[in-house]
Order: sequence, then structure tokens, then C-alpha cells
Amino acid sequence: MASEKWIRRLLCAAAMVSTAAAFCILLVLIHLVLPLFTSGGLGTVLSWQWLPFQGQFGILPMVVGSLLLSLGALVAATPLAVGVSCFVQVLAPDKVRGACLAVVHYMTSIPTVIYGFVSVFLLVPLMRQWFDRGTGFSLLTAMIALTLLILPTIVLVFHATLREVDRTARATCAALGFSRPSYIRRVLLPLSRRGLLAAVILGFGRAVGDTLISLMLAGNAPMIPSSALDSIRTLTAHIALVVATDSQSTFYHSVFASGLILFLIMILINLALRRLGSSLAP
Amino acid sequence: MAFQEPFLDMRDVTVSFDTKTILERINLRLNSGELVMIVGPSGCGKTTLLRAVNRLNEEYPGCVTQGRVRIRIQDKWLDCSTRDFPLIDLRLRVGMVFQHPNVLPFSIRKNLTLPLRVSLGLDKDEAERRVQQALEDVWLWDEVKDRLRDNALTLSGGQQQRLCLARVLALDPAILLLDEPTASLDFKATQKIEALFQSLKERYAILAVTHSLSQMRRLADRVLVLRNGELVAELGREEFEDQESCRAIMEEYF
Repeated sequence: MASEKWIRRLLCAAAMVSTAAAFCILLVLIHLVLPLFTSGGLGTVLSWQWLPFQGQFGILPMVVGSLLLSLGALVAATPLAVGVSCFVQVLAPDKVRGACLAVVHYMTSIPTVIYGFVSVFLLVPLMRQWFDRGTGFSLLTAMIALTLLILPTIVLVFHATLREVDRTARATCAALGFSRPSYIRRVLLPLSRRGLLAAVILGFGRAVGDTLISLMLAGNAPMIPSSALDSIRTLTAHIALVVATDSQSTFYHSVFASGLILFLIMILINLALRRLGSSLAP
Repeated sequence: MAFQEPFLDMRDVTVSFDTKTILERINLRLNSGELVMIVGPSGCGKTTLLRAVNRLNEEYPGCVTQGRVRIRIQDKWLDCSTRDFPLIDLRLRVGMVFQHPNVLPFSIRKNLTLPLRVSLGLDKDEAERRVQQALEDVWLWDEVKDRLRDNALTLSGGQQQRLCLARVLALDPAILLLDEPTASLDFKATQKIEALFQSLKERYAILAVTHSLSQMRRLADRVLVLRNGELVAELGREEFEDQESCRAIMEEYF
């Protein structure tokens, strides 16, 4: 049918455009970073010191900062999300389930900047008080806020899988005498692993790409933290800071390199998780 | 005769979902070694009636059950309808086979061992022993003994349904609930399952739902007719054995 043909073409075009866009971004980044390779500036960018007025533009501390912050938030948010999703789907009474899901949906729509400045006025003083060290702007502070930020994303994606699996397996397992906790542990979670993986990939994407939380809460010191209470600077915050303050100098090369590294981190993590996913396939 | 002492006794059982009444004051007795079949038009509450026995209705939102369900285990009557009655115990004693084969997407072996280990807490050796016994009981052992690690979904529909039955039998229940267990199977598979029920009848009390009048005539010791959530007739073998009179009776009730 003619209309079916057009629908197919339209969908194909949509898929091509988005793939092409992602590919173009990569090309542009490579094009921008290329001078670094030819001029020999690569060594100054891929180094551990950010002292721009002494000509050292090392962004490796930012790479470490980004990875520590996003993986930390992911490690904290994933078990929380699994707990929330299982509770909502299996254990919660109907009314509580509705309320919980409404809150989670609402959380996804809160702008990041709100999480940021609420944390500045609430979390930062608390951290200062509790740990009695530093300014309160630290890796840990940003990690807590970022955990809250990515939690609803992971919950929503994972819960969608959980709901499907639960629909088919619940009555079967109940009829076989499973208690609800053992049903969750032995059947529901093992059958939802791939959904969890998809949720984690998405959560990681949000975490590593988030700029405002780390910019507002992590302190932005370009150094390798020796504890969770130290300040860090992420790649995204670094880009934002440099772009906001300067648009001419050689600082800019480090921005392009940061962009490229962010891009590559996302691709690598995606590939790694996907490989893990295919090994989990039933 | 062993038939006389009932195994299952339902009194004035009413089930409603939200405000809609699905079953209305059901009274039913099931004797040991007896196969009772429930027939009735689609949507009359047959499945809900089976699920009222093992309280599976309560897994679905908005369900309210009234009345009393008792089962007799080792000469003791247990009231299963009380709020604090352990549901796990009830469901281990009352096994259920669903309308569509509902194997879990695990291996054939795990489908059988998981409930044994999780619900009964059996050790590995005992679970393995029961796996073989149950598969032999449903004539599946020879067909699958070399592929127990394969995913259960790779089995044919009839094999899957027999696996589901084996999974229930392995738990050693006293009562079997069968919800149109041959509805999704072809002629050959149906024949096999029916022959199986004939042999299981000796050991279990069976309450089954069916849509097939010929199956009913082949298997049932007693038939209950359900219409709009109410039991409207109870028929003994002599009443439905003759094909013509059976058809006439069913015309009247459907």
C-alpha cells in the first residue's frame, strides 16, 4: 500500500537523520581537535596539570572527575532504583504505588538547576557541618545530588520492564507458592536484567552529561581528589567554565578535547554495557 | 468408598472485583479421588472460581472474597479463607495448571527445581529426584532427559503444558486445579494430557474447567454448571454419559 510505503520511508528517514547527526557531531569534534594533533599540543592537553597561565592545559583531572562522579552516582542510584521499582510494582498497596509513581514522574520533570540550587542552600551547609572539613562543595555533595537526579530516569525505564515481566510471571509464581520477596529475588529480577541494563545506560548518559550539578556543587577545582570530600571538576563543568569566561585563547583547544573525550566515554560505556547485555541474554 | 469424605469444601463464596460481583454464593464439595468439571459460557466466572480455591484472585487489584473455603489435610480441616492463613501453604497443597502453558523463560530443569528449592526449601539432591519423578509422571522424561538445560520455551505447546503439570506435581499437592489445560493444544497433545488426567485422578482430587463437552464426558465424575457467577446445576455421570441427553441439558443451561 502507498501509505505503508510512505510510513516506512518516513521512519527510515528519521533513523538516518538521527544517526547522521550523531556521526556529524563526532566529525566536527574530530575536526576541531585535529589542530591539537598537528601542532603537538596533544601532550599539554592530555596531562595532569591545569595551569592555563603557565601554558599547561591538562584535562585528565577532569576526565577522572567526570568518571568518579558519574560512576559514583550510578553505583548509588542503581540499587535504590531497583528497590523503588520492585517496591512500587510488587510490594506496595495500590494507593501507595500510584503516589510513588507520581512522585517519580514529577522528579524527572524538575529542572536540573533546581536540584542544584536547593543543594547549594540545603546540602552544602549540611555537608560542611557533618564532616567539618572543606567548603562543602565536594565530590560527595555532587554525587548525592546527581544520584537524586538520575534516580527517576533509571526507575522509570526499569519499571517499564519490570511491569511487563511481572504481568506474565506473577500469578504463575504465586500459584507455585513463592513468597513475594523470593519471587522478586529469584524470578522477577533475573528476568528483568536486560531492562535494568538499558536503564543503567540511560542513567549513566544523564550522569556523565550533566553539567549544572557538578558546576554548582563539586567545587570545580581541577585536581585529582584524595577523598570524597575533596573538590573536583568534571569535563562538562570545565567546558561550561571555559566557554563562559573566554572565547579566544588556547584554552579553547582543551574544550574541544573535553568534548571529544566525553563523546568517546559514552560510546565506550555503551559498548561495554551492550556486550555485557548480550552475555546476559537468556 | 474413598469418595465420601470431601477434600475441599466451599461455602457461600462470593468474589467481586471493585464493585462487580463475579461469583455469587458458591457452594461446592470436592471428594478425594474425584474429578469434578466446571462448565459454562465464557465469562461466567469459571477461572475466578478456581482461583478462589487457592486465593489467587487476591493477586489482582480490587478483589474482595467472602465466604469460607476449607481443605482437609491428614484428617484435619483447615480454614483457608482466614486472613492470617499462610498463602504459601495453601498454594503448595492446591496446585494449579493455567489455561496457557506458563513456563518461566528459564531452563527446563530450573522450571522444576526453582519452586522446589524456593517454596519447599528442598536440598539439591531431593529436588533432582523429584524432577525426574515428576517428569516421568507426565511422560516427559524420555523426551527431555537429554536437554534439561534447554530453555523451556523451546518445547512444543503440549510439552510445555505437561512441564507445567510436572512442576505442580513435583510440589506434591493434594488438590489439582486445571483451568482449561488443553485449550491451546492440538488434538494429539490433548489426547496425551487427557490420558494423563485419567491416571492422576486416582491420586488427587481434581477440579477442572473445560469448554469441551466431549472432554467433559470422557473425564468427569461430576459436572457443575456455572452461569453468570452462580452454580445452576450439578450433574452426575449418568446424566451426561449419553451424548444426546447431555447435549439437551447443555442447550438448556447455556
